[in-house]
Amino acid sequence: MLKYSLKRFAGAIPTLLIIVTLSFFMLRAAPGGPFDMQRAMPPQIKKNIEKMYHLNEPLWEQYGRYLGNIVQGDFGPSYVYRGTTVNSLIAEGFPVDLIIGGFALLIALGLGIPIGIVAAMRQNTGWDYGPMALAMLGISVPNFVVAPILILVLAVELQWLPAGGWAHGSPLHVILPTVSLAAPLVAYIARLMRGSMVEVLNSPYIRTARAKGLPTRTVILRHALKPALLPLVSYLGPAAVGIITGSIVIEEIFALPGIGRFFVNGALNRDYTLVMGVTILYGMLIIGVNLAADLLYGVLDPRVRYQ
Amino acid sequence: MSADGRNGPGRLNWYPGRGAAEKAAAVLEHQDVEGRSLWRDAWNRLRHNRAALASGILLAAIALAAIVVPFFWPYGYAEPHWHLLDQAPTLTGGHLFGTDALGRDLFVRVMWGCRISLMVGVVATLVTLAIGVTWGAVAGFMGGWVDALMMRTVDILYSIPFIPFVIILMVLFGRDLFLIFVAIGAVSWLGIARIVRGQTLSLRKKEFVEAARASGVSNGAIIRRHVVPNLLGIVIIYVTLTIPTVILFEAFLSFLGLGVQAPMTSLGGLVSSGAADMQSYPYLLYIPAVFLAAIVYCFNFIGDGLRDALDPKDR
Amino acid sequence: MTERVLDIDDLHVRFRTADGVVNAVNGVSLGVDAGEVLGVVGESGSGKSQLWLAVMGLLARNGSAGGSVKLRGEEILGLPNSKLNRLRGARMGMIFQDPMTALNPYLTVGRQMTEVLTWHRRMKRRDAVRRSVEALEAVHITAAESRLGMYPHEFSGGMRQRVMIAMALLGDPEVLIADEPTTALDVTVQAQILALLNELRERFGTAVVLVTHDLGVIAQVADRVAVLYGGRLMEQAESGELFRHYRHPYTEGLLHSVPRLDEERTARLATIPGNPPDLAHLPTGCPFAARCAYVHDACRRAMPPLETVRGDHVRACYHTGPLGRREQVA
Repeated sequence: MLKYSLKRFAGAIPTLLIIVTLSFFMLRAAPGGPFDMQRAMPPQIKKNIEKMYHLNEPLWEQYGRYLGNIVQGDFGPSYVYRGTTVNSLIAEGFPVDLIIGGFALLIALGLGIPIGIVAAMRQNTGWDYGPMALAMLGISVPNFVVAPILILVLAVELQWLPAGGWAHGSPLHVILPTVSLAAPLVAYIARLMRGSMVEVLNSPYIRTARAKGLPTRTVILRHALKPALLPLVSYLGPAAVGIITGSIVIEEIFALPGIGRFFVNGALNRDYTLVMGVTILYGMLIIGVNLAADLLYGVLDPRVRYQ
Repeated sequence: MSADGRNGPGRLNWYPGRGAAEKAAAVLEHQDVEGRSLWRDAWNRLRHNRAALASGILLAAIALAAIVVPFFWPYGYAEPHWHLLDQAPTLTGGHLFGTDALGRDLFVRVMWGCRISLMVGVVATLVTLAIGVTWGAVAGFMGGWVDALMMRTVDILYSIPFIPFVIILMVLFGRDLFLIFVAIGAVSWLGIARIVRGQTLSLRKKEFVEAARASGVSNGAIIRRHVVPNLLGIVIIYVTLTIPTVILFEAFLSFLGLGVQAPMTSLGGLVSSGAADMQSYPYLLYIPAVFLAAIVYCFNFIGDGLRDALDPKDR
Repeated sequence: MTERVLDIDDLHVRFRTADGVVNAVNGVSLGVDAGEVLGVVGESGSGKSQLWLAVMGLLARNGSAGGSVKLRGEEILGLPNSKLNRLRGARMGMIFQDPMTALNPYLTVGRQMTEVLTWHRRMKRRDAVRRSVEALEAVHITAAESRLGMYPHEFSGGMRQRVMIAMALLGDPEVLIADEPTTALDVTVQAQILALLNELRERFGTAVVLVTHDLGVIAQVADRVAVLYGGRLMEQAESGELFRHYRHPYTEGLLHSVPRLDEERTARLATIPGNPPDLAHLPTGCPFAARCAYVHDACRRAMPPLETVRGDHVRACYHTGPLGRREQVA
């Protein structure tokens, strides 16, 4: 188990390096710089500013300098939000995404898994076709369609919930964004769980369990659940990616102060450090989730551990 | 089901990993291809799947309309009608779906939107296929250190958040339609590469390939008769299930303002602008949303149906 | 006078499939007596497995069974799962063909064994563990206690099958149904497993049903033998009687298709020409008629009834003349 975990950890480092390098050079390769968008300034001042941000140095030097900085945890100053560091911007905005993303995942798992299990147990009946058709709909409708509709119904018509804003994380303001983010996820997890459970229930070892006279509840919970959850564990990585991309859209719709807006606007404004900072954060998150999923998989499947 | 009536085929080897392609592979892993009879069997099963059939018909109808309508429809997609701004849908008066804030006919714009979305879906998926199938097939065929190296690359790339990179690409290098195809395609090839590689690897060692070789069948014939049909099954399933993902991704980009350039639009762009005016003119949101959802829905059902059709088990 | 543990009367098993109704078992009547080994022989498609799955109530979702199955006089066919669960694993045990897939790879062997006892006997964990260790020792698995903490993939094929047997015997069942227990194992291991079954039968008095397509296996351990084909009982007799005085063409075909070491090496391999019947479209009459070397017109019209040949030797066949290996044109 230990060797397995260490191997996985070691693999993360080159990945992170690639992310940093790729984004660094991609951003620099694009036409324009961070100070082109702003008010026209006299060339001398522009030169001085660029010198201050080391933008006049050869690219490799900048790269090396940047690497040295981030290893110490310093993501540099924002080029556009003058006077603030990337670190502080991220620290401010990230908790927002963490809250809605985390809750969305919990809801998705909490709803999707039971629905999938029931659908599998009552295969090819109404309890299967109904939820699965609904789930199919959930996957087909993007969350930037679901969100406005929810706003229209729940915030504008019924006025039960606010239409946007964060209000420092008040629960009412968290509900709609979280639900919109969770919707396609619940659908996918339900379908995944159903398919996986159906396969497991058809396995020979389930027949053995039934031949031993174990009650259905035990067969499902003790014998079928663990193997059925495996594909879901593998899905956690892509789910994290989905939540991240979804959050970018959801933030915009609900006007939330998260880091997604930094990402798009930062790229548009050539705020190199900000974009890099967010990208690296995203990268670390995904690597982290993939790592956790890998480890979890090892916990659930003994055969993987003992290789 | 075998003539013995035996159930429970003892399947294992669930491929961990994301997406439908993996499921498809797990399904086809235990199959021995009989050449034609497999396809005939699958076709029969598919024909009886009413959901898949209905989806196919609906999809074909939408695609047909999307291709044909703009040619003879009296209004252009960029043509403003200044005296008819924000008209609601009406059966008379020519503008079937109404007009948008700039007085442009929504019906033809939706048709164009479908065109673009479908085009992006198909082309980007083809790009994905081209890269992924080649990569996976080469890795699986060569085996050894070539295989190890190629798959290690895939593993590393798997962890990279591609979405942000695509966004960066789009922002930095402009919103070229071609670039969109390539960017989306480049993002999604990892899944199919893994599957194709796994399938090729296991096919190489399968008994019927060895048997064919032992009977003196040439390598080319083996590839034609045994390897390709097996790969084809998975690839078909994967294609039908990737297209909706790609379409949704393009819609997402459009929503962020990174999709095709105005006045050209995709369904995602229409939804995005429709969402802005949602309270006053809900049809601007709902109509393109329905089309988008319908297209994605249909592809998903067809993909599901294909997977069930090629799956020998009684689902 | 031995007691009848299982009494199967006119059992039918049908499956609804996309290709129509498949008749896996068509009116089979069998009995299993206490302490005996009943061998059930047949090729693929004979219904020999579905028969016992129906007895245990383990048919697939699209299957249904009719007729009567009595366990020591009580009718058990058609009982709801809640009642069947009390019998399965406790009074009736079943082991399956491939021990690798029949054991849950995600649970330790110990877990899979102790749960039988904690559920059926309400034993405490510690007692259940002790009993399980005893059971593993009874099937000659060494270091039993540490083995309990291991996973199935850490065992060899033969050992896994032993674990299956031990697990099935934990509840002290009156009858153990072994569905092709040795088919997935190689010959040397096979012999060990069979010897084990014999030993356990003698020690605990459990009735054993041994389902197989391998006559060699039957010859080694079975007391009585039932021959199935096309979902019907063709012949049944005490083991020695069957091998020496068989009276059914199918049995003859089976026995003669086993290659012998003392045959001439250049002699052709004997087979039964033709293919097993399509269970979705069974012909009227005897299912073996299409391949039988002694077929009469009557065979195609109606299924021959079971009649006694001698003592408890029964068969279902219209052919009354001698059997003497008519040459088959292969």
